[in-house]
Amino acid sequence: MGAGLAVIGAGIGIGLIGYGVAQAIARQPEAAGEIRSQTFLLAILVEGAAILLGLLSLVLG
Amino acid sequence: MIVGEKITEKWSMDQAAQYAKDHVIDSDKLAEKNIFDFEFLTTLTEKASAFGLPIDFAISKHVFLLFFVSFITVGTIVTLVQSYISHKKNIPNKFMSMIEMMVVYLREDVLKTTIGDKEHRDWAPLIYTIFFFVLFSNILGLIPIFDLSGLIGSLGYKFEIFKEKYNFLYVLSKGGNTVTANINVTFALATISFFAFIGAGIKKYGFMQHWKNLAPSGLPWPLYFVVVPIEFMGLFIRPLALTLRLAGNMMGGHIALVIFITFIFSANAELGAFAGFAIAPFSVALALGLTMLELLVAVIQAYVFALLTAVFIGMAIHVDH
Repeated sequence: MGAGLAVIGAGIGIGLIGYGVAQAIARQPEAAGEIRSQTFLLAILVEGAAILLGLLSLVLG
Repeated sequence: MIVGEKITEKWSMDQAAQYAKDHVIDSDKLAEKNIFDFEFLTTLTEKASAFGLPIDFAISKHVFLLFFVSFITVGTIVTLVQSYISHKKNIPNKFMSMIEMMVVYLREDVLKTTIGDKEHRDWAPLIYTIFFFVLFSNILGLIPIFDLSGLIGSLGYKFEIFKEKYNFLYVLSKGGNTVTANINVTFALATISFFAFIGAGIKKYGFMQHWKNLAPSGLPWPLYFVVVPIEFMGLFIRPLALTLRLAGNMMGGHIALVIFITFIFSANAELGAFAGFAIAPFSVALALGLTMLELLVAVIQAYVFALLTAVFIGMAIHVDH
């Protein structure tokens, strides 16, 4: 249950990041490298929260 | 791990969880824990507990694997770089070019962009060490070196040494593990980076000014009652997030792998031998695909740990944004 909720949140977050990145690269292909490294950072932060919750649900459940 | 053990006839679904747990968590049993029976480590533990410090100095399987991984990491990198430097022709071989590629990528994309052109040389050794240690331990955890010794033992090469329970080789033949899947290891790594990004700020601005830099200056004064506790909490949440991210990723992947393999035994026990045979190809194919994914995750997590440490150091140095 908890793991499922964590995955929903992270899925929405990473999906939004992916949407933004695809649009940004399509608009400015020459800035792809810089955009990609920023993406990594954001995706990591979103994923970190999801993993924290997943582990919590594993420990408490 | 599963291969090394003889699967008994009564297999139940609870056993799957137990196998997954045994695979990622260090054993609590004292006899399995202390695989090298050194006298001085036991006395050291007793002395520490007399002082009121509950520290166990015993070398368990996980501690041994930590030494093993560290040894291989240092050995590989040092021999490669030394042979490259001492060689007259200066042509990097295959592995040296791989390492060079990673180092150059980290320098250009991580260190120079996050820490800055001027200061990045001070912190480069730390970031490279963290990156290569995490990378090697993640990848060595995927290679079943010690599980293979268990396979040899169970296939009929009945060495005397495997029969004797709780000896060093017997415990290792139950399977190795990923060092970074243990939360204590990643916590130690995160503590190092915690002190690194405090040290970076103190080195640049001096002791008092660094702590003042935590909260942005020039706010109306009532806001400081809100901002200072939040920034202070954020300081401790950063290493915690680093710890849990790496350990959670590695542990999750290995638990999923073990669970996929135990589908075979569960189907065998619940539905009969034919179902076990029928589900085996799917189960192994899933586990194979997941192993490929884990290989990707192993590299990405090493990169992420190095990147985040660099970002936090950069945040301590460049306060204005």
